[in-house]
Amino acid sequence: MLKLLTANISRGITLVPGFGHLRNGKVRSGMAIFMLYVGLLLTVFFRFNSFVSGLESFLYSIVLLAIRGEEPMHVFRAAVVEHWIASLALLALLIVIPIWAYSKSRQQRTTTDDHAVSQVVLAWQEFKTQRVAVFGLLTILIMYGIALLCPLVAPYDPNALQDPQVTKFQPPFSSVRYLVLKEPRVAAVISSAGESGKGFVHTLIRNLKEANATLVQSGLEHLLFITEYHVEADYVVATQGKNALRIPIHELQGEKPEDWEGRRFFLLGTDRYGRDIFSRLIYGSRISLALGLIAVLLAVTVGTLVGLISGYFGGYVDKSLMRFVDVLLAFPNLFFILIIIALFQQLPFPRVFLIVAVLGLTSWMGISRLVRGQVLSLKEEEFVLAAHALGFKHKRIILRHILPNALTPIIVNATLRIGGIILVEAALSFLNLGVEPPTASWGNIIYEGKDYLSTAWWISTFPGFAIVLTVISFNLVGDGLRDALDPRIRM
Amino acid sequence: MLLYILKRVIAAIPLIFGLLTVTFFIIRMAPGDPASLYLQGNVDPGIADRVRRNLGLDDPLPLQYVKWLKATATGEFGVSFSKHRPVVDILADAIPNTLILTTLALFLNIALGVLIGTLSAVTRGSWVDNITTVLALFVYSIPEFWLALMLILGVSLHLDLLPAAQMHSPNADQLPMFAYIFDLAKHLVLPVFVLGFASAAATGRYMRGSLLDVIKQDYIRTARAKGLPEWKVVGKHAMRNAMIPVITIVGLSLPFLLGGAVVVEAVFDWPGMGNVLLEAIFSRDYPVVIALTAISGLMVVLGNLLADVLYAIVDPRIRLE
Repeated sequence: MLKLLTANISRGITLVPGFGHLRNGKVRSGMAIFMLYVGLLLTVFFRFNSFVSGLESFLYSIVLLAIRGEEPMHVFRAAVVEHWIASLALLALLIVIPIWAYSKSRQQRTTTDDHAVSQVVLAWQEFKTQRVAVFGLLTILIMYGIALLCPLVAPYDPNALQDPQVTKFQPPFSSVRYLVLKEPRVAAVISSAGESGKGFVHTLIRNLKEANATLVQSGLEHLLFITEYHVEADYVVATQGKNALRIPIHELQGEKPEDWEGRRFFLLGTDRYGRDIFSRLIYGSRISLALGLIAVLLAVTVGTLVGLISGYFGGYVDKSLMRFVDVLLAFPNLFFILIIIALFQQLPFPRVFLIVAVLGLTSWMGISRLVRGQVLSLKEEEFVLAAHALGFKHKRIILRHILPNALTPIIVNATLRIGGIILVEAALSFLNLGVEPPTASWGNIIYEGKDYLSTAWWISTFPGFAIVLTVISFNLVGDGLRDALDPRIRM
Repeated sequence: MLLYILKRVIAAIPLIFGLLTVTFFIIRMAPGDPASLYLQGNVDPGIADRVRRNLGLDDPLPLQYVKWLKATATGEFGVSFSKHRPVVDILADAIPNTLILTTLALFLNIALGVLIGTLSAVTRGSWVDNITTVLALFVYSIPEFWLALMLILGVSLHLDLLPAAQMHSPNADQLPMFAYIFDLAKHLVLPVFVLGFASAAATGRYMRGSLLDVIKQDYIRTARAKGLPEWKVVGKHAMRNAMIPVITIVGLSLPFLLGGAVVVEAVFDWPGMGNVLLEAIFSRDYPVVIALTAISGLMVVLGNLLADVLYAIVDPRIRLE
C-alpha cells in the first residue's frame, strides 16, 4: 500500500516541470527547467493584469475582425501588438514547457550502441559536455525569452517620463517619492467612454478598448513625483526641487498619508528624462538580438548561395563572382557601413531596416569564400560523382548532396559572426547613426549617457555589460559548436 | 622576387578598378538626383541646371564614369561643402593626427599580442593559458567605445590621471618643446590603449595557434634534442617561424591605420580621419565622403599587396608556388 502510494507520488511529481529530469538523475537540466518555469510563473503572478489584458485584447480583436471584417482602429498600435506577442508567447511557454519536459522525462534513454543516431543528436551530446558553451546557450535563450516577453518583464514603460525635474539622474537602487492624485494628470490615450451602445458588438468594442487602455497606460497617470512634502491644514505642500506646490487634500487619493504617498524604485537608475534604465535595457535587448539574428541570416543566405554557385559551376562564373567578393572585401568594414548609411539616409522607412540590410549585405563575403572552399572539395567526393552518374539535376545535387555536407562550418561561422554584428550595431547606435531615439537600443542608451559620465555614470555603464554578456555568450556557443561539430579538433 | 611583386601589383590593378567602380555605383544608387548631392536645400531650378552642367551630370553615364575615374586617379576630390576648403587639404590635416594614434596602437597590438600568444602557447593547458584564453574572449567581446568610456570614467574623471579628450591641452601652443610632447603623450595613452588592447586579444589568439603549430615540427624537436635551453628553442627557433602569419596582420592593418579609429576618435574627440568622416556624414558633405571611400578602399588593396609581399620576403616558399 505504502509502496503504491510512493510510486504514485513519484510519478505524479514528474508532472512538475523539471522534476521528471531530476528523478532521472539529470540534476542540472532538471533544475534549469524548474527555475525557468518558476520564473515564468512569477511573471504571470506579478503582471497578471497585463497578461490577461493582452490575451483579452487579442481575443476581442480577432472576434471583431471575424464579425465585422474590418480592423478595429487603434488596435494596431505598436504597444498593443507588443503586448499580444508577449502574452501569447508567455501562454505558449506555460503550456509547452510542462508537456515537453514530461514527455522528455518519460522517454526511455536511447542507447547509442545499437541505434543509428543522427548527426544532430551526436553533435548535441558533444556540445553538452562543454559547460561554458551550455552556459552561453542558456544565457542567450533567456535573453531571447526576455526580449520576447519584454512588456511583461520590464517593470515600467521604457519611454514614460513624468516630472523629469525630480526623477532625472536617479542613481541605481534609489527611489523617488510620489503623491497619488484622484484625477489622471493627462487624458487617457485610449478611452472607452464614448462607447455606450448596446448589443454584442458594442460590448465587445468597449471591452477591447478597456483592455487596450490597460495595456498602453504608463502607470504614471495619477502620479506626481516630489522631493518632499508636508501637510498644512487642508493642503499638502510639496516641493519639486526648487518649486513648491500646494495641493488640496481632497484632490489626493484616499484619506490618510498612507493612501496617497508612495515610492517608485529604480533598479539601475534613471536617465536625463527620468526614464527607467532597467526597462530601457530590457526593451533595448530586442534591437540587438533581433538585428544580429536577422542580419546573420541574410548574410548566410547570400553567402551560401554565392559560394555554392561559385564552387559548383567553377570556371568563368567562379572567377567573376570571386573577383566581386574580393572587391567588396576591399572596403574597410565600419567605414563602408557608415558611408552607405550616410548616402541612403533619406529613405522613407525607419533606419532599422537599412541597418539590417547593410549589416547583412556587408558580412556575407567571408561565408561565401568558406562555402566555396567546402564545395570545391565536396565536388570531388565519390557520393557527388555517383549522383552525377545517376543523372541527377544540378539543383538536386547542390541542395541534397553538397549543401548538407557543407552546413557545419556555415553554422559555426554564423554563430561566431552574430557577436561581431551586435558590436557593430552598438557602435552605429553609439555614433547616433543607428536606431533612432526614442526607441531604446543598448548603443543609443550609452550614447545618451556619454555626456553625463561624471555626474551619472550608471546610464552608460549598464548597457555595456549587457552587450559584453551577449557577445561573450554567442562567442562561447560558437566555439562550443565548432568543437562539437568538427571532429578534427576533437582529436 | 621582383617578378613576384610585379605579378601581385598587376593582380591588384583590376581590384582597384573594381573598387572605384563599386564606389561610383553606390553613390549613383543613393536615392535622389545626383545633383542634389552637390546642392543643399531648395535651390532655384536654373541654378540646379547650371550646377548639373558644370559637374558634368548632363553627360551620358559611361562618360561620367570615365571622368570620375580620371578625377579620382589624379586626386581631384573637389571642395568640401561645409568647410569650403579643398577635400585634399582637409585630409592632409587629419591624416597625421590619425596616423600617430593608429601606428602606436598597431605597435601595442603586435607587442602585446605576441607576448600574450607566446605565453599562452608555451604554458598550454595550464592555468595561465586558461586565464589568458578567457581574458582574450572577454576583451574580444567588449565594445571599444564602451571600454573607452569606462576608462575615461575611471582614469580621467575619478582618478584625474589623464586627460579625457582632445589631442592637446588648451594652452599647449605656449608650452616648450618637451612639455608639448609630454602633453601629447598624456593625451595619447587612453586612445592608444583602447585601440591596441582590443586587437591584441585577436593577435594573441593568432600567435598562440601559429606557435602551437610550429612547436609540433621536427626541427623544434631537434633543437630540444641537442640540449638547447627552452627559452632559446622558443625564442630563436619557434618564434621566428610563428611570426610569419603575424606579419600578415601588419599588412592587413594598413587600412586600419586610416579608418580603424572612427569610434575611438569619436569618443576621445580626436581630430583625425574618423571625425572628418563623421562630420561629413552629419553635414551631408558628399565630396568628403566620396574621397574617404575611395582612399580607404585603396588602402585595403595596398595593405593586402603589402602583406603578400612581406610574406614572400619572410617565407621564400611562397614565391615558388
